Amino acid sequence: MFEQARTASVWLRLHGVLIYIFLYAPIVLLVFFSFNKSPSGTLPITGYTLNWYRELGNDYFLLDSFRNSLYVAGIATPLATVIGTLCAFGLVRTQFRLKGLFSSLILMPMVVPGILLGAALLIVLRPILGLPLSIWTAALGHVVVTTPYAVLAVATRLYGYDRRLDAAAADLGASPGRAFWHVTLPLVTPGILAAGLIVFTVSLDTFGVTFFTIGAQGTLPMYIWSQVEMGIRPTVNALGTLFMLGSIAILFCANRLLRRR
Amino acid sequence: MTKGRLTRRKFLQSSTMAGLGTAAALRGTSSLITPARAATLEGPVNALTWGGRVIQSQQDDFYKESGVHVNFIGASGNSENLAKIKLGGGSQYDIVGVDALWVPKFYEEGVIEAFDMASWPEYNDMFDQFKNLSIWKVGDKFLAQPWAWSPLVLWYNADKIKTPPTSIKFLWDPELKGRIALTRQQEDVIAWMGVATGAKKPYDMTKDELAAAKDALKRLMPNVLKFPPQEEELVKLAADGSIWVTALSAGGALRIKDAGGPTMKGFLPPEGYIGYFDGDCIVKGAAHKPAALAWMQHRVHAKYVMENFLKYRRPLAYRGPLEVLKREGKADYAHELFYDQPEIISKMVIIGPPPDIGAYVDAFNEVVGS
Amino acid sequence: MSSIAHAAAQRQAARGFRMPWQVFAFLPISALDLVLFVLPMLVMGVASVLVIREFHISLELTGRSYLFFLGSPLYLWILGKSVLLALGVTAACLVLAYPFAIFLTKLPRNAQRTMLVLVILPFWTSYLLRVYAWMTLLGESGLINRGLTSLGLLDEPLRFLLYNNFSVVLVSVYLYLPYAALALYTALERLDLSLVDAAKDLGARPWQVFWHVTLPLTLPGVFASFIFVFIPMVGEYVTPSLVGGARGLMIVNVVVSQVQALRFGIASAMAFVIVALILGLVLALSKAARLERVFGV
Repeated sequence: MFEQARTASVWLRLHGVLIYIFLYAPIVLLVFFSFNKSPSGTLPITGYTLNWYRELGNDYFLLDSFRNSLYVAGIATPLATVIGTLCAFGLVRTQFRLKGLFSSLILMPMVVPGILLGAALLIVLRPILGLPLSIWTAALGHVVVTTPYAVLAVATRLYGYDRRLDAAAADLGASPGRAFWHVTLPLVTPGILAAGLIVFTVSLDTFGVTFFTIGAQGTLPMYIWSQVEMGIRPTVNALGTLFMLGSIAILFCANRLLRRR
Repeated sequence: MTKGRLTRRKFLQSSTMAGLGTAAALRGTSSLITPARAATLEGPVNALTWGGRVIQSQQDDFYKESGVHVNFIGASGNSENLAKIKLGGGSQYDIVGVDALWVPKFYEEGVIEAFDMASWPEYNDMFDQFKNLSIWKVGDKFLAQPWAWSPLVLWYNADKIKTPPTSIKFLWDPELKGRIALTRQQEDVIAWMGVATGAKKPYDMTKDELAAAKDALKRLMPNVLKFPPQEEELVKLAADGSIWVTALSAGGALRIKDAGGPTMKGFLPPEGYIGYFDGDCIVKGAAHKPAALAWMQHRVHAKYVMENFLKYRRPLAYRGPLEVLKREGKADYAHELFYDQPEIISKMVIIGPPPDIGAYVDAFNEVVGS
Repeated sequence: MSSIAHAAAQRQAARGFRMPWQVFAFLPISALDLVLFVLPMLVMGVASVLVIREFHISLELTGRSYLFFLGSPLYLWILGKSVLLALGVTAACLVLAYPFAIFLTKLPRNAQRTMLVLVILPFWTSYLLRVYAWMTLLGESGLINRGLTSLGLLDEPLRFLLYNNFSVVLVSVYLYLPYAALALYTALERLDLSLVDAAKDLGARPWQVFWHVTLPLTLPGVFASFIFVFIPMVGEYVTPSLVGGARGLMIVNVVVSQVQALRFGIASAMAFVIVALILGLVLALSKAARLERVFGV
């Protein structure tokens, strides 16, 4: 079953397809529900309508929260990815005492419950550091809890890296900087890409830390949890569908452009 | 008007407009004449509150009148809100949405301040019960602007439960195995148990009363399907028949019906029932207090209150919609939703933080976690 | 070293003392964590040993907050339950994600990156929506039940699909599978297939190839996968409260409820115990994986 053939066996391909179905089945449902006339947003499907998309255009509060979520994720992702990549290089290519402890400690921001870390972070930010709260402070909070993901993603990639490639580059006259940029970095890129994807995704869903560290703004998870009385209307559904479909579209466009290289 | 001629009329007109504009801005009512942008109102108004308290149409109107933007920041819990404002300092928010008996707590913690409401035009529109709400008042000033209220009615599926219940103890009927759901508010669940076991003050129980409530919850567990974190789920569960009994505000049956569900009947137990009223408060040290006050006056205009009532189907603290409904011959509808019975408020067990919230949380966790 | 490299090294030496690059590597994360993690943890640590009543701190030391957790068989049991559940979900994710990651590496080169992003793309819709979607699939009048009933395979809807441990595991696996798959893919893609070929040439059977060559070489990926699933899963409390039954109480539910009860001391103490436990587990695991030995770093 795990035969390392050059092409995948039938079983592997079946498994792959099944997993994609598993991942997308609920999403397909969501897309259907975004067109569902019934305001409950779930079964039964009482009819089809574009109402929710229209309502979405007018729901400034929902759109604002979504935009804020994107801002925070947009700031946090490059920061966390860069910091994590640097740390990964350090971890994989150096040896020092207590390295095991250090690397394990780095992962701990993932463990502390977000709402509690958020409250403690708030105390540090306000009474102690005196910083005004804003999208930036929320993004900082996100960076803290998502950097461990970036470290792991890049380190995973870096472990299999063949150091002889660096030596070869040096032999050919490249300075360490050039070797890094033209040899190392491209080979580590899948890890960095994975890191960025994961950080961005985690950031979009983070609630606990966000609530306490953000200023007078709301993010999408905050908006959703505030709809206690009414529940989420299908407009949130429409938003999710649009964003996902939009991302797929951007992805295919980017792919076309990159392929020309 | 011809350019360049400063006639007496033009001078009078512009100064009247400026005067009226300032007066209107200060009073915050929507005037018939568009006022000059009042220099007194500085925004934006940052409101940390729940969905439904800041509606798009209200926001747009207010912006047109005053040039001030209202920022809605989603809140998710009274204690989180309290912690955030207390730990972070109040300057980033102007308004915070608070429930019932949490208001005095917010005041004790120095997080909100009292304000004068009696001079507002809509003040007279409030039910007397709210004008005289002593726990929300400091002297003549108010700690919160009342918004909505409702008893939590025990709605039951009339098709599955043929005999109307006569006591809250019907919840423990073994026939209801896995057919009950309540929201995951630990204090409220324990308080319901307190009501059933005859506690004097379900939100301020003695150790013995708490133990009795905890025991009641233990015995109820086989009948509970789940404790969803959001209310809307209770509606969905009742609508698809997974549960037959739940506690929801006044419009529960209508919401369930809209979601394609069966006819639900409401039951207010003779032993007592929980209820709430909520409102919005001015944060102490708010950066845009005048604008916030103006917004609060604006948003209780009759038409907005009506809009909110029709959408959420539970009563508000203002008479306006009630009168309109009576005139339109829909008095029954209003009655069904308790709008014409504000006297109930004194009979409800009002939600709020127990003096020792932890004890209630522990009682809940110990039963549910085992 | 060749003469060119030698010359380069000499040039560098001539420039005088150079900051070891490791400083730049570790400086950002250390600065970040010191100010924005260690400091809050210190705050929490202080809170966990002082007598605190809601927002009023006294300077009295106490072990009561720790005793609340460590002295309670119920809460320790909930902790154990949560860890076991997390381990189960992690194992399921690893088993499902590994073949999937292999499948990804065997796709045509240019398709791989796209397919990779497609794995995580569904997660750019709201988390709550995805969980709700599962509830419409698994519920009593959900899609699965309706489908099976209309096909005549069922008389009564299945009530055991939702609101129990099964649904919690299923939905959790759904939520964490992409992270596991991404981590494993990153490691697998780098795998030198010539080593695999060599093993086969030496007569190894497929299972042996996997166990002795593939798995050890992709151990960092497995380790990362484990961390990506296990740690957040221990901290899960929203999913169990949505798809778990009435009794679905996880340890972080308890911690969050203590924060909501404004019991910061107890919440902090509980968090520290959980962190200490997980730290120990992760340390033990990384030592066992012996990543250094495999790669001679």
